[in-house]
Amino acid sequence: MKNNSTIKEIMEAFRQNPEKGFELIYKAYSGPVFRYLRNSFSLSREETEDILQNIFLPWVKNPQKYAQIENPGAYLFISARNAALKFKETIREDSLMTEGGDKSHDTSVETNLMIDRALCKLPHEQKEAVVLKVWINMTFEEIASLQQCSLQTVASRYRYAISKLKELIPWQK
Amino acid sequence: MAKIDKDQFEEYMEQNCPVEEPSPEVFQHLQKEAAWNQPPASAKHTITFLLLLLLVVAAGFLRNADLPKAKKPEKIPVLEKIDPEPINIIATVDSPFDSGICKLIRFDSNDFNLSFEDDSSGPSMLAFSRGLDNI
Repeated sequence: MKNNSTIKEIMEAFRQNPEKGFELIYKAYSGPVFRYLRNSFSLSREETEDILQNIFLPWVKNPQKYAQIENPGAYLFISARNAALKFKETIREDSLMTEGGDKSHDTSVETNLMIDRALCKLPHEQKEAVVLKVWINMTFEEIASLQQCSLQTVASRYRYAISKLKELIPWQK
Repeated sequence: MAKIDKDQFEEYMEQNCPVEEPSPEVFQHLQKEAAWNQPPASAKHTITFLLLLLLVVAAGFLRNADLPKAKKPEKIPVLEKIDPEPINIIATVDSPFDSGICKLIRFDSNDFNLSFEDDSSGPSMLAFSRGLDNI
């Protein structure tokens, strides 16, 4: 996640010039939000892009309203999480990607598929905690705020998840 | 040792961080929808279109509307003169002045002088009623 001064600069730029500022916001958060959605909720690329587009769309349609937000990252991750949970509730289970089937990561495809499969075996909250902590570099406080639970719960989820992943992934080879 | 293993595993996970990015089409679509890329004239065009629409609708209403017409002066109805129909006489009696009752009431008194010369029905009725009283 970005540090506070960078966030302030980005939001100030968005207030001064929404077009330029939005470009900065999109560059800063579209990738992490995309990877968070894709890996935490096991969504296909198209589904992930649809949700991503929907959560950024109000920002470009009504920039004055969103210029008052102080922490765009937190806001976007919460929006993404809510949208993904709603999507998963409505969509049929069989259309969801499972076992990382249609993923094609750029580096080390086999390893990534193996990690995906292992992540899919974890409960959703544990998987989400690992993705946010390891790949999005969120703090436990930020994850707790997003998951709406205590700091201890997040730490426990993360510890259990890492422990389980260690068993599932032959990482020392 | 366990802690070191955990850190190493975290490093391993970080090294295998997915690097997927959304396709450029997403950003292009957002730019297309952005408020700052909407032509400012579009708002003016919308207002003009709405005004024209309003005028057309108003003209349509005016065309179909019934204009109020001036009222014609009202005619005062002329009362027709109705000729009184002749009353059918269904019965006749003798002159009331010749009846006994009339003779009774026609006594010499100036302040009680009923003259029924013009009216032929009144004296008979009055006389009749007085006659009844006297009975």
